[in-house]
Amino acid sequence: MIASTLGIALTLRPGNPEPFTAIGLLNEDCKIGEYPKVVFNGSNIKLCVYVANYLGYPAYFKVVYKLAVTETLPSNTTYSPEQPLREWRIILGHSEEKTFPVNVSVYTLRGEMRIALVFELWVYDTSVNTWTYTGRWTHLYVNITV
Amino acid sequence: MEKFIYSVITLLLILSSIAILPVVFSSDFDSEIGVLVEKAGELYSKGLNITVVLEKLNRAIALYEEGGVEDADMLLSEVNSLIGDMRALADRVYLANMVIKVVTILVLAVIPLAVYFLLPRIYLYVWYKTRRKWILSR
Repeated sequence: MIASTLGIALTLRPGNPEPFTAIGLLNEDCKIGEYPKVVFNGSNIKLCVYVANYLGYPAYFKVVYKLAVTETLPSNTTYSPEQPLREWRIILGHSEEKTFPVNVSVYTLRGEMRIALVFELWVYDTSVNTWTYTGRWTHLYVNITV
Repeated sequence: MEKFIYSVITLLLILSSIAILPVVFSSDFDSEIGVLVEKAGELYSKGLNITVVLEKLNRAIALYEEGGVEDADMLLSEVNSLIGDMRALADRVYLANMVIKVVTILVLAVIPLAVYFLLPRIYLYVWYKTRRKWILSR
C-alpha cells in the first residue's frame, strides 16, 4: 500500500514545484574567490558570469552590466537606476546552467573611488514583449586607483 | 590637401569606434527570439527534446552579436521551420507519454488490490502443493 501510494505520488507530482533562476560571479578563471580588489581607472577586468535556469521551461535571459554605488545597488524587486554598459544574451533550457567569460571596463562613478560592478539578470517576457528584471543580481566592490 | 587628410583620419576614427562598439540588439530581434523560445517551451512541455533548437537560437544570438545579422536571420528561419516539423510530432509524443503515465498509475493502483486478493490464494496454493503427498494417519 505504502509503496503503491508513494509510486503514484511520485508519478503525479508537479514537474517543477519551486521555479527559480540564479546568477553568480566568478573570477577570471571561472572559479570562486580571488576577485580583483583594486582596479585602475578606465581599465578592463576579466571575470566569469554563471547563470542557471530552473523555471521549468526554457527562457531568454540577458545579463546587464552596470557600475553602481551603494545607494544605487539593485534589490530583489528593483533594478539599479544606473546606465547599462554591456549586455549578454543567452537562452537556457530548464535545469540548464552556463558560465561564460566577460571583459568589462571599470571607471570611477561621479567621483566615487569605491564602486560596485553590478550584473543583473533579466528575462524576456513574451506576454508583454519586454524584458523583466528577475530580482537576481550579483555585484563586486572594487577600489579604483588612478 | 590637409583638410582631406584630416577628413580621412576623422572618418577612419569614427569607423573604427563603431567597429569596437558592442552591437545593440533591436527589439524586433529580441521579440523574434522570444517568440521562438516560447514555441520551444511549448514543445518542451509536451515532452520533446529541444536541445538542438536552443543551441541554434544561441548560435543566432552569437551571430547577431558579431554583426552577422543576415546569417542570424537565416538561422532563425531555420529554427522556425524546425519547430514547425517538431510540432507535428508533439501531439503524438505527448499522447504516448500520457498513456505511459496512466498505465503506470493503474499498475501501481492495482498492486494493493492484487496483493489483497491474490496473496492468500497463492499462499494456500503453495501450502497445498508442498503438502500434497502428506498422508494423514491417526
